[in-house]
Amino acid sequence: MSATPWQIADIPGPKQAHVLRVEMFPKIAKTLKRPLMVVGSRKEAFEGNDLEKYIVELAKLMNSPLVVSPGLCKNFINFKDIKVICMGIEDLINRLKDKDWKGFDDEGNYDAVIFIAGIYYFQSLMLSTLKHFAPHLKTFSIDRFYHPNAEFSFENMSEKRWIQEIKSLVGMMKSSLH
Amino acid sequence: MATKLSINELKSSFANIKGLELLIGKIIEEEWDEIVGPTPYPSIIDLRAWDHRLLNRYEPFYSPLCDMCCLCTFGKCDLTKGKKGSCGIDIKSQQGKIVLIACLMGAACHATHARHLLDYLIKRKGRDYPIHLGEEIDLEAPLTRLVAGIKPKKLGDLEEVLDYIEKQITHLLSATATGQEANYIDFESKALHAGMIDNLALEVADIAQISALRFPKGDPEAPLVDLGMGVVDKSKPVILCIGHNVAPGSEIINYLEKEGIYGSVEVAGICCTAHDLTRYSTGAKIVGPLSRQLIFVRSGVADVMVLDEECIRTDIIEEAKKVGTRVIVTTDQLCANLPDMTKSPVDLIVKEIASGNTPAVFINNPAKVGEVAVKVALEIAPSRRASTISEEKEILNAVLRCRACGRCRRNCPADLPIDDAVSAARDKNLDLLAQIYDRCLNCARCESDCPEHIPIVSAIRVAAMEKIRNEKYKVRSGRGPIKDTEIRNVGRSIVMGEIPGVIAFVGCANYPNGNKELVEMADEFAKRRYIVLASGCSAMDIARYKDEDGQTLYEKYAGDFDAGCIVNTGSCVSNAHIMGAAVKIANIFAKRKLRGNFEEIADYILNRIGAVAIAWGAQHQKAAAIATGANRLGIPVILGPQGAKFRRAFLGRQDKKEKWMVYNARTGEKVYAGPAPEHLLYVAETKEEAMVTAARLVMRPNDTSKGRMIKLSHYIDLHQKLYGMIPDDFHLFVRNESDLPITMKDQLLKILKERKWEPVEIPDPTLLERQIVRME
Ligand code: SF4
Ligand code: SF4
Ligand code: SF4
Repeated sequence: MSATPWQIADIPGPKQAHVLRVEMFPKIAKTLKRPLMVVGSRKEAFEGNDLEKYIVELAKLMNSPLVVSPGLCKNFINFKDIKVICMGIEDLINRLKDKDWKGFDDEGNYDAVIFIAGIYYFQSLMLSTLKHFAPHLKTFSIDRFYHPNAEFSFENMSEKRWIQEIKSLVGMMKSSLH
Repeated sequence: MATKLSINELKSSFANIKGLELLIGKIIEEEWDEIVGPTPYPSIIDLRAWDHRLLNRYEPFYSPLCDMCCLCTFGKCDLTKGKKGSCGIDIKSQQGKIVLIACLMGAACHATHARHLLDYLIKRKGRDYPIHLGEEIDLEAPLTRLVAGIKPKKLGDLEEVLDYIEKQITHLLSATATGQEANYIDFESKALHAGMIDNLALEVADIAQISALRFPKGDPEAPLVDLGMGVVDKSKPVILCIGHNVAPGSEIINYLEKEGIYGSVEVAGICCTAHDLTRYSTGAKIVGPLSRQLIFVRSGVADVMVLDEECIRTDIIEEAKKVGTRVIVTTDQLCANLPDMTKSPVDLIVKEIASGNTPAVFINNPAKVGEVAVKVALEIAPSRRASTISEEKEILNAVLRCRACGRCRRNCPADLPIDDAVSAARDKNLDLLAQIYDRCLNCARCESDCPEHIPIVSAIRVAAMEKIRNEKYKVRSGRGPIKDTEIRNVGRSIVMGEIPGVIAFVGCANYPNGNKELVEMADEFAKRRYIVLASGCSAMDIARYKDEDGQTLYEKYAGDFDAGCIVNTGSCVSNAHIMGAAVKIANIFAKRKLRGNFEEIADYILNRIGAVAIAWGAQHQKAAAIATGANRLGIPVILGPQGAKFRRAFLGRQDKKEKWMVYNARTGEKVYAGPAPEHLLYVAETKEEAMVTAARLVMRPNDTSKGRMIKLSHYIDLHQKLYGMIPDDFHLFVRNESDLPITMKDQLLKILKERKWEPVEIPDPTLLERQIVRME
């Protein structure tokens, strides 16, 4: 594990993400009032595991709708009891950066965005937009890459280790709620 | 800009003059009676009001690739968290500045390329050589007529257009210096101007070469030519041309023909020079796009490599020297610290190069390059040192040194699992490396950071050897412009929306997942009877795949500008004909005047012509310029995920109703026309998103109900097929019930009711107040 940008040259500037450890997240999550979980289109991340299931569980535990990048919508549309929004990520980021956006429920913008399974270089730039132009939002990356443009990010880790971490995150979130 | 002095009649002691027009020392005959519109040869502020209209609806969206600025000695300045640089600039304006600089790099490349070509062609054919694009093409230069306001008749007429272009580039570049332009909106207005200038330069370059060289002239049945890594016959001497300027390559062919030996020497190309070589002669071959450059050069198959300009790897000369390939650089854009032998006698140059004393030289004379390249190739081919089996073994042995550190992957722009592939190769499994070959961009960033100095790209080549040998495809040679007659045939159906749209695949090869996705997209749209166009590396990559019948898309679909066809317009500069087709529709079908009338035509295209470009692998600054120029003309562009690194998109907000008001030209009333087209420049993360977005962006306020029904049915169908559901936003595109696809009408009406949908009128849409006056 290391907290250097996954793509070695992706060094944006002096402001880089705080390292996020799994055990920190449940506590932080409790402070979030309107979180939004965003699933990117890194299709390989979904091979040979039940990642969709864990993502849906996490979103439910946070009481967050789930925005899914169009390339992966089909993997999510059959889940029940969760609002799945199929939307281009750039379009979404453009709305999130507008403080006055009404959100998907007309109740206003969100206070935190949690990203997972994005294509690294694309995700990095979308996080950069939010870092610069959305001071009203906290951004988290729980992907398997250290994303310097997030406010909090997991460190780099292997795919296998990452799935384990996501599983334990779900477990910790559950016990922190009970 | 040129000052025009008209003399109706002058009688003096030395001459009697009647009906003369002088244009900066040059005499032009004025034979075009179309009245001059408001903006001939627009300055950098003449179209600012139009830009601001566009930018108000499609606001710039920035994704800074770097948080700092280091453009002057006050820097570095950190621009995060609302901080300003020492010069007072904030991050938005700094990003606008960087985008403008990128567009200017692109525009300058095309302008320089056009100037080189024009100088060369004028030298060969003379200033009076006619501009002639073939039968059924009277509207020879739509962008030149539109922007410059002239109707060029001879090669020499294009010189003043280039003078104008060069002046605009200087003024725009000046505005990027510290202490000049201050606001991101005006940086973007200037970027839009740079884009328009770029598009104009494309047209100048292509109409000059189509007229003066023997290129296809708008021929839908332009010949099918060979393309692929496996098409070069290694048993012959091989000359490889890389770049964009066909002048030296065409002279190679001229010399071979003159000597009667064309056919016994292979002339092949990489990147757009290759397209243009096959337009010049069907005997030439296309190796592939930019993404095949390094692997092919490393194969050592080329005896001589001739470099001209743009998209040439900076280290390609070093790479060529390693395998014994001789190099000739040919333009002032790439001199590479090589000795200038332009003025030396041919025999001496050939001796120097062939002997290896001076294996790489600079010759700034296309005809001389032609002769030298052929003579050197003939001389050294028998002793060519193409890679041997033992070298290949050595390359594979190198992978044994891999220590699985993963740095290769973390340097790969496409995030390819190259570390796993090298590890597998260490265990004698080459399959993963061979798979990477299809997606690899040939950038070599992986190997340049490998602590074990493993020649990773060469390993990919060796692993994929079988594939490479069998890479033999057919591509239709670039036909250039669209015929006026074709525009007459389909103009109405496009404007009314009955042909669902025109989709152009343009730009470079920096794809997220190789070229196959591009082929799949083009195939799907052609099957659905959109008009599909292609140019540049994308036009090549569409050919790099065969279906189950062993055919490429160019063999499967006809090359007409018509529903369900695929047109290869040609090289990067042939992008001009894609924009040109939209302009032609406005003129030929709708009878809108072109001359110096940019704003009205752009307004027409934005509101009425369902054309969208997909630049799935946009990489070069030229792509930024071309796309930005298309945007100013009202044509939306979708980029692949790497395109986010251009740092700027132009995005609409469908949830903000006030942004989608247009004038109804019939009444002057402001009416809601729906979010069509929703974005001007949008980055899609996946192929699925690009396709659905394209089907949405072809919708235009002017669509008739029949046309909107057809467009909507494709949008909804693609959405269902690729996303698994009916789109959430389809109601925004329904103006009245007749817009609904018949087969789904009941189901959709139910949803409309739930969403409290109300019908709206279909306006005669325009963003320009003066168009209302026109209608009155
Ligand atoms: S141009 Fe401005 S922001 Fe950039 S380094 Fe100089 S002072 Fe800093
Ligand atoms: S960088 Fe070199 S040593 Fe490291 S994993 Fe890649 S190939 Fe192996
Ligand atoms: S050469 Fe290919 S594998 Fe290596 S970094 Fe570039 S794209 Fe990735």
